[in-house]
Amino acid sequence: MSEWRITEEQLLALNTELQRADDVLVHNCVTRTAQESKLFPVVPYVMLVMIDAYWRYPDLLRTALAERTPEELGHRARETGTQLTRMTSWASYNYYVNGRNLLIRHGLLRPEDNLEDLWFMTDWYRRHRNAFHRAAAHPDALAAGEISPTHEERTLQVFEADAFEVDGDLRRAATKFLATATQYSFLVHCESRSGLCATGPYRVGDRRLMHVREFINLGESGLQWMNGVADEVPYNNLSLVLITDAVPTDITDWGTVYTDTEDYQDIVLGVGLYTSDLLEDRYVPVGMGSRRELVDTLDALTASIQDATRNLYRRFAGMSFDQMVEAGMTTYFRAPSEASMMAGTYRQADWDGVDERTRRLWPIYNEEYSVDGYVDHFNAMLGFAAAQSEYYLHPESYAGWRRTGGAGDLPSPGRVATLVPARVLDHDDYPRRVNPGGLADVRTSSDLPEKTGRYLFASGRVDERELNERARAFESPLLRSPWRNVDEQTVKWHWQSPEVDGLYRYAQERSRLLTDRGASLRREDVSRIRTEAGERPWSDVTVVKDIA
Amino acid sequence: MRHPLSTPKWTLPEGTTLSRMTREALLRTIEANAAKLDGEWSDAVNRGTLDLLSADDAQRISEDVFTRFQEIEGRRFFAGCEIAARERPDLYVLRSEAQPLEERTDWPEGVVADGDNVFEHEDVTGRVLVVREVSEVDRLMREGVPEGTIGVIDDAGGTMTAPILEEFDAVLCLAGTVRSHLGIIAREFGVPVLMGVRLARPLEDGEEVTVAYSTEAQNVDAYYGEEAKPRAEVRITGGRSA
Repeated sequence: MSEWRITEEQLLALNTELQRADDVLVHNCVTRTAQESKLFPVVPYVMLVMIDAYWRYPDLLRTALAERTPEELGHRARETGTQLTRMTSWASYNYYVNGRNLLIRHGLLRPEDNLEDLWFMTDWYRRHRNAFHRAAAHPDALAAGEISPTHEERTLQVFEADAFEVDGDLRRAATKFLATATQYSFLVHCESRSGLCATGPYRVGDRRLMHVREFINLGESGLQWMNGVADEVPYNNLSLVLITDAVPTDITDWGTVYTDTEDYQDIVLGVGLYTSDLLEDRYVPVGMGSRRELVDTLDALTASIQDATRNLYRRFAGMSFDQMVEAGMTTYFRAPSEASMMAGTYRQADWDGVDERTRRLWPIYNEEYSVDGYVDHFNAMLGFAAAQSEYYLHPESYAGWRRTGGAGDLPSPGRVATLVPARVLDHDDYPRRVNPGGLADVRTSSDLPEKTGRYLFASGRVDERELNERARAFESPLLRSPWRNVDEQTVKWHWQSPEVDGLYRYAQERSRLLTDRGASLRREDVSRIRTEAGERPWSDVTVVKDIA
Repeated sequence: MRHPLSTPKWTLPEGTTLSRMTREALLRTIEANAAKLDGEWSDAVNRGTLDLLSADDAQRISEDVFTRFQEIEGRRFFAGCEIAARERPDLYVLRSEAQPLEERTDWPEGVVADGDNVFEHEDVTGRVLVVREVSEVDRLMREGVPEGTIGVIDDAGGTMTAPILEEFDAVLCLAGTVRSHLGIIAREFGVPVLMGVRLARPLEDGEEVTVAYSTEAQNVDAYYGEEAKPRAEVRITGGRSA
């Protein structure tokens, strides 16, 4: 058995992270709506996958992190669109800690059990998150005021400079693509938001705002049900840059964009389109040679996604209840799978199937108990393991009560998080790891067909072996000194240095308007460059509804 | 071995009978199984977890709980998804079919429904088409949605009607809120939609209705304490088509 012991410093940091996860989770649970779907058994799969994550994530991630550090993965995830987005990295940690909470609730686990795993997962998440959020340094969107500032100036300047001002065709093509891809993503991911993310909004002059919509897993990915249904979708990940008039925009920790007004399409002013993935180190422009090319590209993408939607719907319609539960679980379970891909330790079989320790709970998590358990655990914070003490007020439920002007009874004193008791500093009568023998202890089974075919990346389709070879060989100057350590504060004070200038030129290599401009660009320079190219700076672009 | 989690100082009651019964049955079984084991909890919790609760235990608990649930509640479990009720009609009834109609007595003359508007649009007049099943969506994928159709959908998810949503002139959704997936996607498509629609009576295929999508969009903050905007109304404006 491992002799690992937690320190007091680690324990206090761990409990703070557990409560922070609780705060973000409950806020998002109580400010959104029902989880049920007529097509998918959403709530059973949500509950069961959390428990499955508890048994399997620590050893899967331990294998990946033996090859790449959390900081490196966080930096890579920030530079491109990958599955390790803000939402999915947050979600990965939350699936694990809430699987732990549910097992404690069932009486199958004590709060101190498998503490080395819990610390490992917490340490991984906070290090990944802190690197990913380096630019603005908020731990999550909730802390940032429900916005999601992520990218650094060099990336944003390219997005801002290169976006095309909309005409009637581009506005129509972009909004149609946005709707079609959003709907398709919900279908690919079994009614979940696992394939959607967004960053921003960012100021781009006067009252104009820019945000970036990320679509992940559009083509052949590790999701088994994508076998053969999306062969014509040419990109796995796409990032749509949208510049709007000053429409108030929230971007939550669940990656969802909310705007006020809700129908903001008429005030979209500019559009850009990119692809990227874990084998790229920068965004790759798609159809950005001209406005006409962008319209045609978006229309073609929309058509291919509509075909894939019909194919995929029929595939899901032929699945059994158990297969659909497992598909939904797989959708969630794969949230951190690209850590394995980036590390070159990816094995499809590791991420498929359901652990036998979870499988035994299958009949318990029927449709109705799953909903009741979800509401008890995440919304009402009721039940056996809910209360920290009978005096505690949960900040989110108290805030809801306060918003009503104090109407009715005070909310119940529940919480979601189960903190680790400090007695572990004096006692060591707990197991350290859930799988003392590592992944060899894990036994899974699956009712889904095996994945066939390849994995789609911007640079081509690869099989599992090729993926791992290319991942292990992957390198980028962005990940090495000195560029790795050029953050916004470094740029502010050292923008005239050759290192910073070189980094900006690298970021500008594929830009249609900023190539080789270097690190000295400020907002007025970007506006001037657009003007010189015959395109208006965003501060001069006004809303014209029903444009031709 | 004594189960270490049997007697916490603080707990809160579960929110439903089913939650309470399930928790009690699980804990009782795990306590009884633990009592049969030698050694320490720290040895049993991982390698012995299937001894603490086996698949057979869970199956038996689920059957016992269902039997007692039926005795107490007088019904089968609610299911949200169609496949659950189709495969196991002995266990499930669809929640959407079991929900009672809104008990409202002050419906204005001609108004048969109201709902939360997702975004402002011109009012729409069209023929009702109720879409409740995957097989119906499949048929409409093949044959197309007739022009001038207002879809009546009882699922607030974004996937059930995914391949055909864009073809409706407008949608009435009998579930969810303006933040539900269906609301988000319909907005992106520019298809006017009311969410959380309450019915004075069931709407029937072919009836002509006019929906006041010009009503101000519902305040998203109404769901957590802020003042709600008036709901948009649905009026019968014509009989059933031939």
